[in-house]
Amino acid sequence: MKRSTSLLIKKIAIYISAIIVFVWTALPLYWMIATAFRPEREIYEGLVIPKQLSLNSILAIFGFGEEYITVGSTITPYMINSTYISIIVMVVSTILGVLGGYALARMRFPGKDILSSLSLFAYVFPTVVIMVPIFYLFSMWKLVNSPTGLILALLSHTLPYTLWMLRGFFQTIPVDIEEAAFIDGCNRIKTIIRIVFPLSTPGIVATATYAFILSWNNVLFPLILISRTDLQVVSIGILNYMKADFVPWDRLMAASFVATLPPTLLFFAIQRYIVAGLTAGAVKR
Amino acid sequence: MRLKTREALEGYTFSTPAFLLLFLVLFFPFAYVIYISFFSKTFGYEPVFAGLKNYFLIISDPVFKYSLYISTLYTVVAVLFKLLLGLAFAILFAQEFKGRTLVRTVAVIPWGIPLFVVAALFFWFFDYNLGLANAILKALFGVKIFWLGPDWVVPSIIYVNVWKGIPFFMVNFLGALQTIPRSLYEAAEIDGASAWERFRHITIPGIKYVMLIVCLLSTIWTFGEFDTIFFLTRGGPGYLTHIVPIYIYHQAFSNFNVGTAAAASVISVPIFLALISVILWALRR
Repeated sequence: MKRSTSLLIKKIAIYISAIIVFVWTALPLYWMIATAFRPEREIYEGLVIPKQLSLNSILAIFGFGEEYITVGSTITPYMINSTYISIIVMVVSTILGVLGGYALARMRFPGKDILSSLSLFAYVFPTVVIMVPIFYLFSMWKLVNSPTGLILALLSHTLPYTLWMLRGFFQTIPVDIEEAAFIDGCNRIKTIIRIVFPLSTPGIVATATYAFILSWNNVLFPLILISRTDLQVVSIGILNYMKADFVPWDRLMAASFVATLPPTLLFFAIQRYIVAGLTAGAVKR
Repeated sequence: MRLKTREALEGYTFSTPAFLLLFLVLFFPFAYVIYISFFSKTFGYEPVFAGLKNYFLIISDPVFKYSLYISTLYTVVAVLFKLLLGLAFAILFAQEFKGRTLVRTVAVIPWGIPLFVVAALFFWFFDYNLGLANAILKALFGVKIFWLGPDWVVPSIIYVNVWKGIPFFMVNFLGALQTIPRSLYEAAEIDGASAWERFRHITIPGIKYVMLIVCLLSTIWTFGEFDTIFFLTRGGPGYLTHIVPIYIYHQAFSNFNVGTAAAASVISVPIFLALISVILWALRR
């Protein structure tokens, strides 16, 4: 009797906690979605629950149904810039990360441990510390207001990550398999292409995807390096909506919703690999 | 012997592209920030050697002292809340209940959302007249507060950071909890250990290392966090949310004082280095 009562109390406590967790997390998200998908006038009526649904705000940020379109008033160029810059950053940091990460995981050479630690240091280190010299040096090197400059700066953030993560993934591949390939007469390059790549594809894809996310989500580098609206990326596009004297709430939330979709969906696709990532050393022992 | 040299050569060939690039965009800028911190330098003018003048200027600047104070307060309080709530969330999701997958998925979303979107989201959520936060307060208690006004801005930015940061703690803790053998709990229950004793003597020791690493990583990232506060308050109202990264930004890009901005960056480095060294140590053991 007593046991069943305490079980019931436990059950009720669990469900109440679950509801609190759900509401705590979902409220701000609900508010974004509710604002992005309702008619603009409803926002100013102070309604918490939308009466009508509308796609007007989403269409408006892409310039549909707008009378005046100037550079920067729609989110389209920002989205295009973010996409291609993040793709280049992803590709470069993955290729260099695979090469470097493999060397750090498998090859024996003096200085290897220092380079490994250095890549973790570099990844964990907050980028604010190099904000000033990046701007100063890139001004001298004529890399301000240039996509190349932004890509290089972003690589300072993504490359240490891909190096460290891929090193970890390569370390999980049993050495025996590679040694067997060596004995069968494969050279280093052949072994990597035929044995290591196929075995670590999920890890490489997840790491590349996260490099894309890191690049898409970055605020600091486009903020200090890009002042031309036509070259700007979506994170600063959102900031420009927020800076207006009268914030266009529906547009801001519609743009936020659109800007958050690519990184968030990608994040959920690779989430279980990321979680295994940084703290892996501690769990695995 | 020849084989060893060959392997070392291969190792350098593989890792050189990555570390050469990192040298250019990260290690050299990092060295340069230290160098330039000894010069008086305004954008557009030649630097003049100033010795330790920038450091004395900064240390005697009451705004910088306040920045260090508010950064520390922000970091310590936010990490503490993330630790406690992350642990509570993890323990909740370690239980079985209907709808667990759905609630857990929702609870992870903040991790996947970019910081700049989180900022836009709460900018609107906290809006005095039309935001949901005040709509709820008004309905429940009949009051409204200026979330980003002088009285509430510090708790509000901490709230935003905690909301965004909990899933990182939760997911890592959940993973660690699953590595604790069930039999330990069953044995303890048979021995008559209370729920608190089981938590204290089985759960906590079982996730100790993950806790340490997650807390340290989060401490570094919270201390270096720039995006949400820059978007939400620009360091204001007044200097109330002038955390160190915002201070560096304003010194460099509002006051155009490269030297003092560099000195402020350099001063925060030892804090990060110490924390990262502990992480490296914990991952190695």
